[in-house]
Amino acid sequence: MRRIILYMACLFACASCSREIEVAGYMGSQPEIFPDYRDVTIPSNIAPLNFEFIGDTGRADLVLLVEAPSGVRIIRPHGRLFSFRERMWSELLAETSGRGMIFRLCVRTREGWKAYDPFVMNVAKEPIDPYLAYRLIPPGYSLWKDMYICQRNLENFEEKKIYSNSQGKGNCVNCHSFCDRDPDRMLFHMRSELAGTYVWREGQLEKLETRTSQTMSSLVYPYWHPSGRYVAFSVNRTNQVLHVSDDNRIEVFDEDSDVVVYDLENHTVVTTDVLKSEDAFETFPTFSPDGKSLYFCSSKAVSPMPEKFKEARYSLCRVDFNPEDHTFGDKVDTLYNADTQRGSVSFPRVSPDGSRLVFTLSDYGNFSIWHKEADLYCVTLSNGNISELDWLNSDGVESYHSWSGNSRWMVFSSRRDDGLYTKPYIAYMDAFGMPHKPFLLPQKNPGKHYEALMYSYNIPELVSGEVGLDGRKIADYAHKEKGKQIGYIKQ
Amino acid sequence: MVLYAVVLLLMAAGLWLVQEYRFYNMEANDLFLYDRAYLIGTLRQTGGFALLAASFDSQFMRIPFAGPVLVSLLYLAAGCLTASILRRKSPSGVMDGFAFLPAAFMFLCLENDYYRYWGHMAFVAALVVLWSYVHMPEGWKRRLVTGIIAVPVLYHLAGSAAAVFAVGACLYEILDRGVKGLWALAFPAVMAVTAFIYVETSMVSGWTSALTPFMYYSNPSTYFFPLYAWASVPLLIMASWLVSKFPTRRNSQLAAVVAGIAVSFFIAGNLYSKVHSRSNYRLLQEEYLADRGEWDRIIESADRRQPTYLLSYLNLALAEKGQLAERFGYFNPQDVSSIMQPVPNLKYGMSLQSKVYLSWGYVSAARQAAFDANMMTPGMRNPRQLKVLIQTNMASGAYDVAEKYIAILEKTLFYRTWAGSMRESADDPLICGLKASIPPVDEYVRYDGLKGDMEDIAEADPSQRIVKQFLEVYKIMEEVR
Repeated sequence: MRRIILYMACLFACASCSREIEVAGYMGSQPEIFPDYRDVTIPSNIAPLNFEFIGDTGRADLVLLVEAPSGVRIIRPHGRLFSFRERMWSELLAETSGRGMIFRLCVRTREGWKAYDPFVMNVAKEPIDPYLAYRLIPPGYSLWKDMYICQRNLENFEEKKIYSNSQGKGNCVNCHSFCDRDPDRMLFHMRSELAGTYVWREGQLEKLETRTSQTMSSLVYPYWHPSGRYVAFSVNRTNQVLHVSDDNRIEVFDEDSDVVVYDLENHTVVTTDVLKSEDAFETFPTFSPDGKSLYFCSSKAVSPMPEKFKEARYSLCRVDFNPEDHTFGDKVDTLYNADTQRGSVSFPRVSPDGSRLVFTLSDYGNFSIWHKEADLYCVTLSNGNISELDWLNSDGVESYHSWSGNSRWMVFSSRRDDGLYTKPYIAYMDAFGMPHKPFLLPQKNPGKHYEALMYSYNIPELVSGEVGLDGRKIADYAHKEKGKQIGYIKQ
Repeated sequence: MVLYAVVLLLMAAGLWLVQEYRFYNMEANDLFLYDRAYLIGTLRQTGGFALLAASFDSQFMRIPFAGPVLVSLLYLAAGCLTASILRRKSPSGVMDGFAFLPAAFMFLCLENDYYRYWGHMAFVAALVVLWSYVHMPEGWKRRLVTGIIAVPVLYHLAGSAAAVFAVGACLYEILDRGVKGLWALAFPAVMAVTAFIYVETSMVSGWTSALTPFMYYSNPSTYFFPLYAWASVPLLIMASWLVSKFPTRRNSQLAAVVAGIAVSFFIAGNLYSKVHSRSNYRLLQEEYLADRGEWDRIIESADRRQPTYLLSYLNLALAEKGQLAERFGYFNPQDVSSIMQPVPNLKYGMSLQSKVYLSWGYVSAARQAAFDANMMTPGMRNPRQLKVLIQTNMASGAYDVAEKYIAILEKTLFYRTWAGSMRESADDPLICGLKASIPPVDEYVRYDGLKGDMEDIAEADPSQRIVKQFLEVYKIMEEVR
């Protein structure tokens, strides 16, 4: 018995020692970590932001001190990876919501523990939508093989496939889109075999044959009307060329494009002259949250392509839309004029509170994911002021983006890390519309995960819940159904 | 033991003779990584254990003769396991010769480029479990529980090949016990339920993959030999049971064994001659030789009636030896397109393009082709293409992307030294040459045709002797036309 007590006492003493880290000196800089989570702002419902120390300290022991109101927690790494147990992380988030947690990384030297300068993770009170949907696809050229539409629970590390193209006939799947982040109302396209637009709403799948004799292609880039009755689409004749020596490897360009609005009740697309002009390429339609405006990008028609694709610069335009009778206004407002302002707009997305519109700006064209100079900009819709979102931009590509339901979070795709494999970054937009430093989508072991991943995260879309649609159902349906032919109306 | 060794050597020699380059190709399509995350990730997949075993095995196939020996070992194991299973029904051993039928069909599977070595490994794993099952002690309860547990476990470890066990064990029990053995129908039932769960949870892409060898294809294919290999096991069990009903004499036993072996060999040989695609095999050969820089062997293997799809590798070999202009006309060129003749397989076509463009110093085109060829490889880890991707990305200054591919190759047994050396490759002559050949003025690949591209590269770097030879021949062919 005495031996047991002695043993327990020793164990307790050892445990007590390990909880004491006395800092004997300072390194004088912040630690190098991957992902760079230093001084980021995070939501109060995000999965643990595990990270890896990538600084050069040889094999020295490391320890991380996490300071929260309830005290300091000591985290020891696995190798160089600092990972947090989900329960402890949730407690930390709850404790520091509206404030922040301070991280102090210490390294053991001959003189004792030396601390790097601390960094903070600010925890915003506003939560982010709990799911992120994206397509995983190799960042390739014209060919494809395996690709997946996935959903990731942002509150933990669970990732599920909504659809894998191997469940069908290996065909391309693209342009997944949700109505107001609603997991029960989504659509996506399949190309090649089993081609069609697949609409999922009210627990039913519907396959649409969307090529009509009056439109130049099947429906392409979608955006749902907030009512859920309409979806605006572009129709595009798209082509691509491969650069010989430009840093941007590929040029994808439209040789023509229009915008149409699809009525899910009547199975018809409707358009108007301002969206289907002979003299212009219209693309990337987006509805405003009140459903009364349709934003789109428009460039003067350029020919021949690809010789003149640098002359295709897209303005940001707006036209009235009446959801009652699906009619359009005659007057087009121009929020960003590509002719005078010399940039080219793509992916306009209005915040759900209707106050701001964020778009991608590149030097020319509309396929910004292959444009290193592509950055995110913001229009304040009340006054039309345009500002660059400096905190979000990098030397690499910033491109596709989507808003959270509370307009406080934005996820955007970026190639800042290696210049090719797109990753999703999440940024906080405060009440003044100021973006905070973004953070990379957390993973259990982010270094290993992103190093091994041979896919790009494509079209990251925040979703308010789990998508109940599964790949098996889609594949069975795709094989079975022929697809409903849609009609066409021009006003 | 000596007999087994002789059989093994004979099989290996046979495989070496007819399929040597297939094994190098298998190695290039199944890279094994010494990485914990990769191991755990693969084990979580359906059939992950068999996949890991196959990848581990195939990494050695880059060593000459290793591929035939390893695959022969697998065939021998399949034959011996089947024979041992059949002997439980027909102890006289009269069916021993026929036990090599599954191996014969496995051999035919090699002909399909899309059928992965993984399928071989999974099939043998299923045979091992079936062998263990039929040799376990009597007692129906114990056997029932064992079978019911074995099916889902095997399914997760080896994939749909568990069907071989489920059907084989069920048939074995019913033939053994008659109506009293019907409890063994639980095995196919458990198999169906397991497959259902895996399909519904999207861990398997569909029913066809869940229950058939199609799980082991990298592309949809209508190639039935794996299915024949699977079906042959229960059919042979049935045949053994039937044979055991008749008394056999020693002479007839021997005759049956000889007949069985003869049938197996006949099927393998006869069907092989029908399904063997010489064009595909030659492409594998040329790709391997080009990757190794064995230009003389490519030239030696060519003749005046050289098929057009092989002209591109031959042109490259001739250019590397400085003989293109001199000997191009000898090898059956049709027109200018013979300079860069397309091949009848997208993946091989991309591999070819990456190799040829790299030799020209055509960085962006080589990078694109290598990317696409790598993408066509299961798991996107093709060492030949990853090397090209590293070289071309480094040459174009995309060091972070190159680093990603270097990190993959550094986790392999045979490429880690090369990959590590690329980190300090600022002065590497190939990279420097590639950098120099990038035209200063941007154009689009193939936009002005092949000739325009070659002219741009030759102008950017006059020391690029390969592209200059191609250009010279191109101009000659244009004049001839």
